[in-house]
Amino acid sequence: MSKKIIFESSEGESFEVDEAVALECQTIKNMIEDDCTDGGIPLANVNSATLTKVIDYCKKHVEAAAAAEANAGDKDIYGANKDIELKTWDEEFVKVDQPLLFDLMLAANFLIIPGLLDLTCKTMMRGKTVLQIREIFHIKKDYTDAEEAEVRKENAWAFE
Amino acid sequence: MKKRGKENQKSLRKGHQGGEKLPQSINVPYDLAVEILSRLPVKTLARLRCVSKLWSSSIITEAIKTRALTQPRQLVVCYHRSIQSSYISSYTYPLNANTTFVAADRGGLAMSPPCRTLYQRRSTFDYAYVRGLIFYYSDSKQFAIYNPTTSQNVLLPRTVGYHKENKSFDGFSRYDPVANVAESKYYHGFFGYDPVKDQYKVLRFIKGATICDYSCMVITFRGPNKQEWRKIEIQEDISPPRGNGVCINGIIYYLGGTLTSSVLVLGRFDVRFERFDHIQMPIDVEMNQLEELSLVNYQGKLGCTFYSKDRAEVWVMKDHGSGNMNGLRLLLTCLFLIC
Repeated sequence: MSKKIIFESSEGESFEVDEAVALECQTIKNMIEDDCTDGGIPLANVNSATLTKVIDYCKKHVEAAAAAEANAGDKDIYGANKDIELKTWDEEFVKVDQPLLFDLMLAANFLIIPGLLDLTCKTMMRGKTVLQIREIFHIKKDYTDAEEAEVRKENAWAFE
Repeated sequence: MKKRGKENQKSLRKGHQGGEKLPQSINVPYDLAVEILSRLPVKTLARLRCVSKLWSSSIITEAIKTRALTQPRQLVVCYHRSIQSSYISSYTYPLNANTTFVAADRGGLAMSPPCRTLYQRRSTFDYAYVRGLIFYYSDSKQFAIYNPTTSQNVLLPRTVGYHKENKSFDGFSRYDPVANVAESKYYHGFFGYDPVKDQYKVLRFIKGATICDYSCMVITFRGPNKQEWRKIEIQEDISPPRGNGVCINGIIYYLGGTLTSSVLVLGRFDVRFERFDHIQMPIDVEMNQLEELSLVNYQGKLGCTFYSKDRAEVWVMKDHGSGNMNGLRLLLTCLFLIC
């Protein structure tokens, strides 16, 4: 039986996971190495719903990594795993509402899960117009119309 | 695997990102925004520059720079003899690769970004890679800086000087009243980066009527904003460069000479303080072998490639000397042989 790590969400709910799964988070990995995980790890800024998703993600990726190791021939020259199934899984995984996606991103940032941070960041910004981005991030437009037109012109290739 | 136990209801600091929040009220800390931006494709970034001034500036200064430095690219320079053109192509190297750019190139062609017309010139070394940016001599006969990460290209203003006969010249050509032709008077441009003030600078020499008559101009590169050449004073006994240069740790090294002797020296230009000095040439080279010599960045150290009939040598400076001209110790490493 592998070692278990206990996470505690902001609501005080406990989640028990395998150490291998917890090691997906760089922050937790450091804590495990420093041997200060006894009695559970309180994650004061991650709520239960988010933590459930985060654990799902880590589990899936640990399993996928183990499977990939079994047939190591599938790797491309960059060492990246071209696992289409995992990619599809990831895509499904981030089909959540905006606030949860944002929570996932914050959690990934806090726990340092590079893959999840990458995934959530890209999903968050994908296919959004400048207006939508301003709305989501609550950014007040500080360009004058003329200035914006200028910047738009400069970067016209990106709007094609 | 998870226990839905409710023991230990410690009143922990409630996360500020509760699930009940509406998308409209997301408040992204600035550092996280930068984190997000640094992960996005360049095209998206260019689009997002329209979001706000803050985002635009962080995209330019943080996100893109981070990307250029964490995802090093290697430049491949190709030269096609029959059509007399050359081009640079760049590709991302595997992330775990050495982040130091090793340029062991020579040959003297003006480089342009892909899909641009090229300007060719013999016996000059017209491009340099420094910390994510490529400096080159463009086909419009101006120096230009190209960012391979964003595919942005900025032409630097022309340098206009005045000749003794009051004929204005752009630094690249000079009007010769006797022959009634514009004579090409070109000197190398150098590209440097000052890590202390985080500034890119371009240094160029402008040739006058005689070898002693030349001036030096510097431009601080500020992206696409307007910028101007500044003339700088030359206190040292140096003559204009004779070969290519390379910037290492805020110092531009170039092959040069002195006005008072015919010995080849290693010129140095401090990018931050804009000061010149020179040190002895570390290897014994005759002036007529200059063509075979090229300065390179060898894994963060000054290197010198030297080609002769039957061999190629790479010299690497062990100790950058901290101004101590005699303190140069050199290590001869014969890395490869070219037959």
